[in-house]
Amino acid sequence: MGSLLIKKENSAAGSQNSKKANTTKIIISIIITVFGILNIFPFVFMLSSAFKLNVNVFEYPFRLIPNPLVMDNFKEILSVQYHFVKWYSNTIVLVVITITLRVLIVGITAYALARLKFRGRDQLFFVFLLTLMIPSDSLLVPRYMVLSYLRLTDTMWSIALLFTFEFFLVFLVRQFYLTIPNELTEAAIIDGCNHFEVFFRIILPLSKPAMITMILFTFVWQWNDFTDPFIFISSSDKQMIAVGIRSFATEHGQRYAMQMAGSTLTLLPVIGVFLFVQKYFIEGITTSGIKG
Amino acid sequence: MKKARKILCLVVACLMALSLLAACGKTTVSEEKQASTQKADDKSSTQKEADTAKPSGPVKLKFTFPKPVDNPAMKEYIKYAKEKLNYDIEFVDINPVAQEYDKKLSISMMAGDAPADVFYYYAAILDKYIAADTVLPLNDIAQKANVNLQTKYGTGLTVKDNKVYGLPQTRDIWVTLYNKKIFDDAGVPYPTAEGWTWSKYIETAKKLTNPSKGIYGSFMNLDWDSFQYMTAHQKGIPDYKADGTSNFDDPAFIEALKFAHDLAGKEKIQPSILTLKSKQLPWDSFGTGKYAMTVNGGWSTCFVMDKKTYPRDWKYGVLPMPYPDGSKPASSMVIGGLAVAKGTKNAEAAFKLAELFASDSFKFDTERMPTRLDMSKDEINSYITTNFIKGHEDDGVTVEDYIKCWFNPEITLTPEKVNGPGASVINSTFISEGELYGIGKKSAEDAMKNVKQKADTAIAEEKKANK
Amino acid sequence: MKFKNLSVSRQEELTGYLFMLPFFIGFMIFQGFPFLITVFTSFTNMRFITKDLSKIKFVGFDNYISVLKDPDFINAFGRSLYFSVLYVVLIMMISMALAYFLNDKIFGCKLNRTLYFLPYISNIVAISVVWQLLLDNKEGPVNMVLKAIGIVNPPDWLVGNTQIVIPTIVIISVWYGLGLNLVTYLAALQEVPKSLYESADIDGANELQKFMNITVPWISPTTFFLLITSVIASMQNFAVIMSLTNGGPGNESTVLSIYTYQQAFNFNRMQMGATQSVYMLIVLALIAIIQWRGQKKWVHY
Repeated sequence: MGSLLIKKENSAAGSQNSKKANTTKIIISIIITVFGILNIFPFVFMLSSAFKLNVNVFEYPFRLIPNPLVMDNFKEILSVQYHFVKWYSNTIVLVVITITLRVLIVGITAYALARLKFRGRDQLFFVFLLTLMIPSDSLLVPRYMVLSYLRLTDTMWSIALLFTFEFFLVFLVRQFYLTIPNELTEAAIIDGCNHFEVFFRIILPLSKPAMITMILFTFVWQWNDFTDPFIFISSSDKQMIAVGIRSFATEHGQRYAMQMAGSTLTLLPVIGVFLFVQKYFIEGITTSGIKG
Repeated sequence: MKKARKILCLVVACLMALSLLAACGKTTVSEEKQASTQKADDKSSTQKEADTAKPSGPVKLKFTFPKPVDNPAMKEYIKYAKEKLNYDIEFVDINPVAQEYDKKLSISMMAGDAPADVFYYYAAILDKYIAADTVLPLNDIAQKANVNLQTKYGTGLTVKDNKVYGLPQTRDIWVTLYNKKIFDDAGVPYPTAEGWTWSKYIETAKKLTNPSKGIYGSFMNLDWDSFQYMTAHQKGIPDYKADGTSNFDDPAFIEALKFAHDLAGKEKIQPSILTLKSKQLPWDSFGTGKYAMTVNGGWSTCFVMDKKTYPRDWKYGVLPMPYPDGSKPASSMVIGGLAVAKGTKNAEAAFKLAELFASDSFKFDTERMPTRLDMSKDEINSYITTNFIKGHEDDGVTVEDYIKCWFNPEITLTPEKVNGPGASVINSTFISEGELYGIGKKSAEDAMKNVKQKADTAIAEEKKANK
Repeated sequence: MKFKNLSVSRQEELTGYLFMLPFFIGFMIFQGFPFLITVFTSFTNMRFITKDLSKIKFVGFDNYISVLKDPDFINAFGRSLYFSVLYVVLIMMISMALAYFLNDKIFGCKLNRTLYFLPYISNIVAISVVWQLLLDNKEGPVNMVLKAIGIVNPPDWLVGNTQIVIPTIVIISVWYGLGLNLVTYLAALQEVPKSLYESADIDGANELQKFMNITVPWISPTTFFLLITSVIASMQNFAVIMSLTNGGPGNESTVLSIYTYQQAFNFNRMQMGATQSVYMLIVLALIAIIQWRGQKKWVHY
């Protein structure tokens, strides 16, 4: 179909071809959108279950409009016995701190790994990469030991620092920096800029999509992370939202209806952030013109 | 080249310094811990000194239990303990779900940082905590506190190598719950506790099963470990042979496995394991009112206690657990209890708290029966009639009904789960092999052969490790 | 003052170390050191990790040998490989194609981007329940459709055997993990200079040629990144599988990540869990090295 799309430039009288191109475009749009709409199902399920009684969540066949429709789940979540609002604000603080730390640290680290030549760089890179390959569950106990030695357990710093020094996003940002043309930075160096200036004046403004991606993932992961806060934070009032939601349970099993109600409340900011961030992806197209 | 070497040296030095730092940290921390437990163990006046040296208010203790924060019984109990012991007790909320609770507790305890001084344990799991050297033995402290654990709790205690590690807090005897409305609708008379055998259960369930209405006669979580060997345990078949190897080549275990899955496959009185899995039927499906009977631990009476979570227009009845034809009445039982973490700074106080909970907490809980063995019949009766039955009277369930289930000396109590060397591997193998048999991917004989083999390997391994 | 007198390359080297320092220190404390403890554990008889060092015995490579003799490990490993190959191939192809189209090539890009990102942020329980509803072997809509078009014995999907369970989980995981790859690709596509396409248009290149000759090479560093991280992600699939099948039926979907977890936390064999983790690490590292060597051929910096 690709060949169909371009012919319009070649033939001056390409009205028929561009019509064909348009049909293909429409067909592909429809296919992608149809599959895209399937993605809402879990979301719909979540929303519907949030208004159900717990025993009706797994009802078969699935009922879209709850019967009976109850608000109790939301009422209970927001009642005093749970620190729901506290968890929410804790998580926001955590996410803001982690993002700040990451923007400060990940950027320069990735810059050094991508652009600066120093001995041992590639070896170091590979050692960093190795730690991504070990299942994180097998690191839980050792990590707990380190954190408790540093007296960081039961504080949100344990989570913030663990996250900040994960290599994944350094790797991502490094790969992005590699696509920025060398000539740009080399010229600056010849003009007498030092690497700090190059990084802050040239690289950072050019890598907006990369930084935005990093911020988005930090936000999403941290917002949904269960294991780390669950293991490393003990006090209920210091806990994070994802763990809080999972505590809606009895000793015999999960209270899915309440968890879904909690998830509904929790997901809103994530979707909001994504919609907000979206426009930067489009903006990126216009700014990248200067680089060619 | 030189520079490269320098850098390498620097990296290695950094690494070593770091590990040294951490190693030092480790030893100092564990020394501290040892010192503190020794202090607590010490029978002399050091403890008193420590107590008098701390004029600032009552002893502070942390306590954790797999129950939700809003559990009313837990709140009342803590209030009661605070008044009685005059300690400052904090409830640490981990997660009520067993698997999560265990994960967090074991990880932090292994790392030497117990989240609470006193913690609840599930019977099959305390073994792991003991082996990981994170639980305090209670013999000496009990003696000092003048509590005779043997006469008070007897077989309920968790003992290893003659040391008591856990005090029983819950003693759960299995029951049959039934939905009176489904019986009425089908015109079937309510069953009685006398001669309540499995064949009677099946016969009754068949009369009640009505696929056109979506009603099954029975609901059991056939994907749970205990159901794979339920009837073998009820018949009193041991899990281990005299030589320490597993006994799963006994034909009774093949029978038990077949029996459980025949309920769905042959008798068609309940959803099969395939349906349970595929439709994700939750353990509390009985609460939907679409199942006439369910057999489960005594704790499942929470269905009927909690009318907010399980709103219903039907009444329930209770019977003992059905027992295999041709053997004596028998019911599964499981014990959960309280243990003291080794890292506690206040072992004596922690023991007192655990002991008080083990002996008195049933007063605040309406799903459970007391674990104490030194109670007189009158005490038990007055407990049931004044406390326990209150939540059940609406349904027309009587004190006698529960006495027949839980206080009947004629019922032999058999362990709900395999509990001994290699138990976690064994139970998990039963789940996976049982499932394969249940969905028809394996014969019962092959499944049990595999269980036996894996069990023996795990037992041998554990023996070797304990040497 | 002194710094300025140094040669440019020397300056660059020192700046490199300086820039690396904060991350390196934090990394060593929070990632490197725990990592070393885990590797250390795999050479001992520690069934539990404890601070009490007196009971620890070094057993050399005993754990490494006994893990290889464990048929369950070999089976889990095989399933993991099967899973990984399917997963990586599918997610790489789908995410690149989708990102290409969602980069303003079709109608409704904005809406579709949000839609395809949605699973990535959805509650994992909700996801697994929805898929289980859809794939129920008797009354699920998928099998209803299959029966309607004349397939007598539609597959059991999540409750069937390895041949069916693993591909089913792969499809669900790809669908779930697509968001990350998609967004990363979308961000990378923004970096491709428009002027390149414009000059290609003048040369009369068709859409496919532009895609192959401009887009693919330009985003190849990102492809390299996603390839490595997708291989890693395919091995760390614990949460999805646990909530979908719990490793069942039987052990049919017990892949390495699940088996390692069981060994470490359920069966009290911390040392075995650690050993298996190291094996997984070695395999992933080998794959990464091959990709690393190979990248010179197709990754354009």
